[in-house]
Amino acid sequence: MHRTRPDEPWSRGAARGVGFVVLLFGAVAAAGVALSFGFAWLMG
Amino acid sequence: MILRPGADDIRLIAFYVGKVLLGLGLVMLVPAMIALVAQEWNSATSFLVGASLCVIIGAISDARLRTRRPLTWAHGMVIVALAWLVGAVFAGIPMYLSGRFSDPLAALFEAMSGLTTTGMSVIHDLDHTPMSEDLYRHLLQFAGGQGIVIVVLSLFAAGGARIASLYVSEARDERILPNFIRTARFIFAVAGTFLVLGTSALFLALLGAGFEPGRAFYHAINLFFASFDTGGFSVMQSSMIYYHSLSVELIVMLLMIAGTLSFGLHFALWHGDPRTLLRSLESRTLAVTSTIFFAAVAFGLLRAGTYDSGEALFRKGFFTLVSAVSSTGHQVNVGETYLTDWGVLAPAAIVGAMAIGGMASSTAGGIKAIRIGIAFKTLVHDIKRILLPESALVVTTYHAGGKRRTLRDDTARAATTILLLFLVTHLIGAMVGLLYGEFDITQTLFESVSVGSNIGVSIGVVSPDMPNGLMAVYVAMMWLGRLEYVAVFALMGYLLSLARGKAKG
Repeated sequence: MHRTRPDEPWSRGAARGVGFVVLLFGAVAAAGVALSFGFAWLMG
Repeated sequence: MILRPGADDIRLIAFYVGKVLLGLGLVMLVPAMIALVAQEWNSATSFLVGASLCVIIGAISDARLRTRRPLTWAHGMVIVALAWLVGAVFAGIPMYLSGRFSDPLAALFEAMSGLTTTGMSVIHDLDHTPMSEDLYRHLLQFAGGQGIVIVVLSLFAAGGARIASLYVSEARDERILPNFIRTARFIFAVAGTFLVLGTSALFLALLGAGFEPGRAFYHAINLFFASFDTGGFSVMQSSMIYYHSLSVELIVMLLMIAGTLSFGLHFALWHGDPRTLLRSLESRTLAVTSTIFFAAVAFGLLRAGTYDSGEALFRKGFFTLVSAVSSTGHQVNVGETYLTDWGVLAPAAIVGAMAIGGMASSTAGGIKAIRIGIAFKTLVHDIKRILLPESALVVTTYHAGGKRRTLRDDTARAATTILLLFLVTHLIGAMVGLLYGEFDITQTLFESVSVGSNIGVSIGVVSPDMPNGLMAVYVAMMWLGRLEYVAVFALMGYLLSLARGKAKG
């Protein structure tokens, strides 16, 4: 299995990678919710 | 002057295409085993026939055509173009034998749709498809999706600037690791990690939605393949509507976003470097265009009176936009809704989002955000050159592949050429659809962009009963779009040189 950093197990890189993707998803979803409710309020 | 390929070249290409068929045969053995265990005898027979054909041809080519001659980038391009075409033909064999498709063309359409991660389906009675056949359709998306990423990244390694500039416009350093094996391992490590976590999360969400454990696992694994590989096939005719679950929709959205990130960015994130994501021209372009398109979708839907609450806008409008941008094609609406209930502006914005698609070096399709970003940078660059004194030196830079790069003329030309090819293909597809007189321009343009960009969101043109000519055109569009034209043009050039080239010295 490839290691993203030679001095650490690959699972740590995997955890970091997945963690960042979850954070990114959180940001995208939060933006989506804010825009959805914002537009609905503006046009309502 | 073009040189005619020799017998050695043909042998080399046939050898590697045979290898691809061997791999496809092994993929077919997975659903064959499932069919045997589940006692789906008809499906098991279809898969065993298909797998036997692939394995026999692969074994013969391995035994008879083995060569130590090294691959050139031209060979690589021809092999890739042929692999996706011949692969789709052979992948369609078990589908046709299953009896769930009207004719061989429909089976080819479904196989091409799977391998190119488009996700449009022309299968009859999807809701009652045997488990093994569902898994096979979704496995094809996984094989084709991961396959295209490995192929593109490997070609960068082998072909240098000539191919790289055509594929993602300046991507010589896009190879995330120094060699093919390590690249492939990293790609499968990312996919494997998300497979375990994504399937587990979906399993729990489906249990929460009231599914039995066995059924929850079956839907979870298929949903994972369709979402992470930005494919969009579904186990049920009604796609995501079937689940009526916000948690399933959120997990699927996360997987679609993960699938549309380039593997270069995944590598940076695994390496603990999130700044690459923030600085990259591609992610910035995608953020800006997606925000603009969602504003148009929301405005259009609210103005048309389709939805009036923020929740409905998020679950229907925002989900559809993510599905379109990521080129997945999961639907939370019945296809005809886009025509009857969504007004004009919202579907137009979805068409725009589908045309752009996701990131290069991912499983996403479409023009790709990097090309749109480079086209925009080129426009700004040219305007600066007009406004500044003639003696002024104008240098434009952008961030890609973890580095700051200088915008070059050949990079700009390659990006705009591919962009133009996509747009012309979308228009041709739309016009062919109009020839049949059954659909209007909104329907044919929507569907053409969706097919040509390997998205899969359907407005209802694609169905088991669609005209054969249109189906054949869509098959070609899926093939061209997935390979981003370059490999297909290389194959055409190769065929031309076979007929008209000059014999080598």
